[in-house]
Formats: sequence, structure tokens, C-alpha cells
Amino acid sequence: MKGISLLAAAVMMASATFAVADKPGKHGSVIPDYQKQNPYFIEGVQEVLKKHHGSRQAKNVILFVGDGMGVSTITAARILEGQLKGLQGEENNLAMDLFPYTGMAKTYNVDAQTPDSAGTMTAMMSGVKTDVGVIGVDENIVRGDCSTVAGNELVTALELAEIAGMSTGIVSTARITHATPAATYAKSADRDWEDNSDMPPAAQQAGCEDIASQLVNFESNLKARFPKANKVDGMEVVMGGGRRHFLPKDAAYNSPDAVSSVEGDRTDGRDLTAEWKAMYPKGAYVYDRSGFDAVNANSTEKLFGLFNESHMQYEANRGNDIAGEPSIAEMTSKAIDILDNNRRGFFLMVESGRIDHGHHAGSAYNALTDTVALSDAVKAAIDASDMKETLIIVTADHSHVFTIAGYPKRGNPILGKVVPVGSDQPAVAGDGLPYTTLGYTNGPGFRDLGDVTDADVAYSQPAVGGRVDLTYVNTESSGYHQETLVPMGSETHAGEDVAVYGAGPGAQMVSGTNEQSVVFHVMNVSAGLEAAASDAMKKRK
Amino acid sequence: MTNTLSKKYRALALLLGSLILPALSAAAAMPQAQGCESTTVVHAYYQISRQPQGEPATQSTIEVIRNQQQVAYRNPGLQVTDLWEQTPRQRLHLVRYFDAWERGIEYQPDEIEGSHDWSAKYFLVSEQQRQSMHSNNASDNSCTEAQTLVKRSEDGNLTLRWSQQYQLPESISLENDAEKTEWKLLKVEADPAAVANSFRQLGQYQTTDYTDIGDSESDPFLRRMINLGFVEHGDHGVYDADGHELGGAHNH
Repeated sequence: MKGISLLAAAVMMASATFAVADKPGKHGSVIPDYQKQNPYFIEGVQEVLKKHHGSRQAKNVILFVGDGMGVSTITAARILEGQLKGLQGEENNLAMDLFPYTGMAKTYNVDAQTPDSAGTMTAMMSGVKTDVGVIGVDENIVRGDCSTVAGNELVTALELAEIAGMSTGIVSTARITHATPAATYAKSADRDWEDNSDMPPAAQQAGCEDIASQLVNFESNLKARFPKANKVDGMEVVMGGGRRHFLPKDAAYNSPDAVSSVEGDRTDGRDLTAEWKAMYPKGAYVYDRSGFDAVNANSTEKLFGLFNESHMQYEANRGNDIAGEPSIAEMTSKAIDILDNNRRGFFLMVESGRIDHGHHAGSAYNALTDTVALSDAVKAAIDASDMKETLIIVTADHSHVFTIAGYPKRGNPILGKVVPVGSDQPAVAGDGLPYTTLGYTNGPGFRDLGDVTDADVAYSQPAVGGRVDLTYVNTESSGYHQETLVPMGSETHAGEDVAVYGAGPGAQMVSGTNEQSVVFHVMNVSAGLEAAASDAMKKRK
Repeated sequence: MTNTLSKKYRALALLLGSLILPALSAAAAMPQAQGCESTTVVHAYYQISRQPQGEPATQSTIEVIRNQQQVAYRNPGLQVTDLWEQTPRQRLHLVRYFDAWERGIEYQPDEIEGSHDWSAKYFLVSEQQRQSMHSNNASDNSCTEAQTLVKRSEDGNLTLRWSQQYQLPESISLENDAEKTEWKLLKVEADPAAVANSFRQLGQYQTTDYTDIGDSESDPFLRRMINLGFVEHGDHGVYDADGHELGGAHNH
């Protein structure tokens, strides 16, 4: 087994002496042995049990993931939000800054020093670190080889909650088939297999199911894996982008909100939105703002919202969406209002997927405004929840090569040029030119796109490495993209630890510097997911 | 370098029609000589010659493949094909295909700067541009003869020979103090089945949103995109002799 550290091997040996594999649920039947015997799983169990202290159990779990939301992103977004409120900024707090417990997570994938979202989210959802680029399977997978999926599937926290009879939901501003949300419900040898047209013929012939199909068939697939799981009734809430993966490649199936001449990508002729509606005739399928607004959370049993053909809009660009999209805070509130109708509690994952995309495009403005929007969603969740019985975790899957640099004075505009303490004029570097506080180590580099609010416009121009004369450039405008050292077509992830914030029952377990896979164990122990799932499988409906 | 080139060809791009216009719905909106039948579903082959002042001329080829709803510009030298579509909301949607890799990179309409004038893409020269030009021959109403249109401005002398039959330029010539650029139609194949097959082949290539390439470092093709990027796309389909899009200048 590749990638196992000496520490993990030692933990594995130790586990044989006190049957860690049977903890924390002590029922041992829902999570397969190969998952529970994985060194990362064993280490995670031990870490959280050290900090559990018989904490009060959580009824509900909400996991927020800021995709690419490294520590520098949180700091800069905190300052930006404060300055937008008229403060100096540095003293401001985002919603997660006020959480009582904070830890750090090591983000590497089993085979990668700097990780991707597929491997990291699989770790957070299953307690097992895995390879880059694969979804819901362990490191024994061969990426892109369908035949290696069987026998390596990992049970996720969302699946445990579903088996336990809790309400479950996922919300993302990215495509709902994108790596982070997919890792909650899908098993795939490749994160890119979002619909059947993305899969090689061999994978389709071998019987592998694309991610969108797995989403719609989540209930039946889970029942097939766990025939005794008689409380499984499918996810109650699914909201995000990515309609293209659910519709046939035929203009006749275009939504009124389509932006492409042919919206769908599927080449198997399946309309998965129609299949979902047939499965859940009392459910609501919506694709735009007005449809979202019309959903009555008290009476709606299931909600399926696909608000964009691809990813949903950046928060700063949301107003330009023709059919209209809800904000991440609005989706979070609506999701909780639907999910909390279940007396057994709920599990909700909310991803702010476009922080990552703003950074990839080299746009601090888009990355930070989406981070502020995520903070708003966290606040909305707190407002909608009873924190005595709800565990909320806010974290990131990985960071970006994004820096806060120079010696700007207190209150200096975070998107601005560095103005030193005691001065009103921008500082100049050794090349005689002013420079910004925010910057990237690599990526597309400088752009001056004025009032453009869609960072991806930057891709229409070649990378610009190094320094540009910013003397007459408004670096605080939405269309400004920061300079970079290394010119690349797309800015990259970074490999440092990310922060994990916790509030509610069991939140103290996020403390310390842990493997990222510990996030699963915090949720599992706090809400007793495995135990509840095992109990549910023993009971008649 | 590329920005310099873009600025260099800005004048020609503007002359050829990268101005913001009310959108058209493909061929149906095009004015034609009364009674003429036209064939817009074609595969056209152009030779492009560019000669900067005092330098030798360079030549390249571009293929224009067009059905009723789509137009593709294939650069055989670069093995790159730009497929343009008009969206239901009258915006432009671009997929850039890399033929050697059988892969494509997709741009959403909001990511495309500048003009979203479908007529400039579909007919190579915008309707507004042609309407601003003066006819230079007596048989303008002939269905078989090309119509000659000219325009003289401070940007140079522009001459367009317009095929009524194929709704395409037979030739385009722009000459000014800096350079001379000519497009010449070499041949036209009006075989709907062959055109459909070309688009079907492109449709089988795997596509990726440019937005997503940063998360795809394990993919050799996309890793190349991450590390190197690629030639910028512009707001016009017309290429220069070096394979650069003449409309690369971006208008804000």
C-alpha cells in the first residue's frame, strides 16, 4: 500500500491490540473492514477519541467547504469585508472566525504533496486519504481504470446519515457533479467522469456509472450496497450548477436558462432531471431564481436545483445572470429549512466552489468576494440552527499560492497598492514601481479588466509574468488581476495546511494539527453517524 | 508579443466588422439579390497572404466549415479549430479544439470579450461592415458573379469580393502604409453530409471548461494548458498569415 507514513504504520500495528476498527460505533457493520483498517482511518479514530470526552451528541451536522480557501484567503476576505463595512478591516471577523475551536489540517493526497479537491474531499467525507483525482474510493484505485473501483469504495458521512434515516443535502456553487460535492455521494475512478460523454468507452462498457447518474440514482445505489438499510429515501436537497451533465445532447432538452446552443452533454439520451422527477413526484426541480423562490420549505419533501449549465456565477457576477441565481446563503437557509423537518436530524454539506476558480484565474477580487459570501452562508446556518444540537465545521480542501505581502499601513485597502505606515503614497519596489499587497506566486498574472466581475474573462489573454507599471491602474477594481512571478495558464493550488473551524457539540475535536481525514471522524463521533446507521439497519422500517 | 500583434491588427479587425451589432439569426437575416438561391452549408478553403511594408509576404491557409447554426475556423498549420455558436440569448459561445489531442477547451459566453456579433463570425465580414461599403461593379444583382465592395478610410483601403452564392468573401484585401493582407477563396465544397461529418467529429472530442483546467493537473493535455496557456482567442474569426486572429484586439 503506497504512501503510508511510518507513523501511520505504527498506529496500524497498535490498533491490532485494542480493536480500534470497531470504534467509534462499536457496531462495525456499515463501514467495511478495509476502510476501518486503513491507517488514516485508524489514526483519525484515535485522534478524535483523545478529545471526545463524552461530549454531548450532535443531532445535525453541517460541513462548509471553501474550495481553495487557504488561510491567506480567509485573512484577506476578513479585511475586505470589514473595509466594505467602513472599518479599517483587520479587526473584522468572518462568521467562522467567531467559532470556539480551530485546528489545522494536513491536506496532502496519498500520492501528491499539493492536493486536489477530489482526494481531499474524499478524505473529509470518509476518514481515508486517497489519490489525487479520484472520488469516494481508496488509494488502491488506479485512476481512470473502472475495474479497480469495485472493492475500494468508501462509505461517506453523508451515506451514513442517509442510512441512519437522517435528512441529507448538498449545496454547491460549482457544478453539483464537481469533485467536492461528488465526493459526498459518488464512487468514481476519475473526477472528470461527470457524465457518460466524459467517460472512455471501456469504462462505460465495464459498467461504471457517471457521476451525474450516480447522483440521481443515489437512493437505489445505496440500497443495493446496503439491502438492510430500509430508511434510505434519497437526498432531500441537491442544489448547485452543472445542468449540462443531466441533459441529453439535444437542443430540444435545453432549459429556458440555457447559454449554449445545446445545453446538455449526455450522449446516452437520458434526461436525468426527468428521471429524478419520476422518482420523486412530490419533489421540486428548479433551474432559476423564480423557481427557487417559489419552493415552500415547509411542504417540500425534496428539492433538486440546477441553476446553471456549468458552474454557478461568481457572487460578484451573480447579478448578471439572466434567469437569476440564489446566493449561497439563500441556498443554505432553504436547505436547512427543508432538512430540519426530520426528527432524526440532518447532514448538510455546503461548498463555496468558486473561491477556487477566482484564484485559478488570478483574481483576488472574485476569490475574496466569494469567501465573504461563504461567511454569510455560515452566519445563515447559525441563525437557522439550534447550536446546542448542531455541529458546524468550516474548512477548506486546499489552499492557493496567494499571498498578503509588503508592509501596508493599518486600514490600507486590501486590494490596493502598498502604502507604508506614515505615508499617503504607494511604496515603490527596487524596480521603481508600486506593488499590491495581494499577489500570486504563479498564474495568469496582471490583467486590468475594469469593472468586469467574471474572473474567467482573464483566460482570453496570455499569461503575463512579472512586474507591470501599476501607477495609473486601479487595483481595487473588480477586473484587476494581481501580478504573478511564474506565468502559467492557470494559477495553482498550494500545499500548506488549511484551517478547520468548529462550533457545536463535539467541535473541540477539530483542535490541533491533524490529517484532513480527521474531519470525517469529528462528524462521525459527534453525531454518532456510524452507530445510528448500524442501528437503523437492524430495525424494521 | 501577442498584445503587440493584437494592437497591430486592431484596425483591420474593426474594418472587418468586430463592431457591436444587433444579433442576427444565421443566414435567414442576410440580404441577398432578389431571387438568388444561396448555399451557406459549406467547407471553404482560404489562402491568406500578409506582407508588412518592406518585408517578404508570408502565406497560410484557413478552412471555414459552416452549417446553419455553427461556424468553425480550422487552422491546419496550428491544428487548432475554433467552433463558434450563437447562444439562445444572442451571445457567442466558443470551443477551441486541438485536433492533435482530440480535445477542446470551452469558453462560456460571459468569458468572451468584445463584440458578440454573430454575422461577423458566420459570414467572416459583418453585415454592418458590408453595408458601409460601396459597390464597385455594375452587376451587383447577379446571383453568380461576386459583388465588389470597397471602403477607403484612414485605416486603409478595404476591398471585398462577396459571393452571393455562398454568402462568403471570395477575397478580402486590406492595404495601408504598414502592410497588405489578402484573403483568397481557393475552393468551396458544398456537401452537407461532409460538413455534418466534420461537426460530428468535433463533437466527439472531450471538452473542458477553461475554468476547470486548474483542477486538472493530472491530465497531460490540461497540464500543458496550465503550464503554458495557449494562443489567445479574439473576437473575430479571421486569422493572419501566422495563424494569429486578426480580431485579437479586445474592445471594452
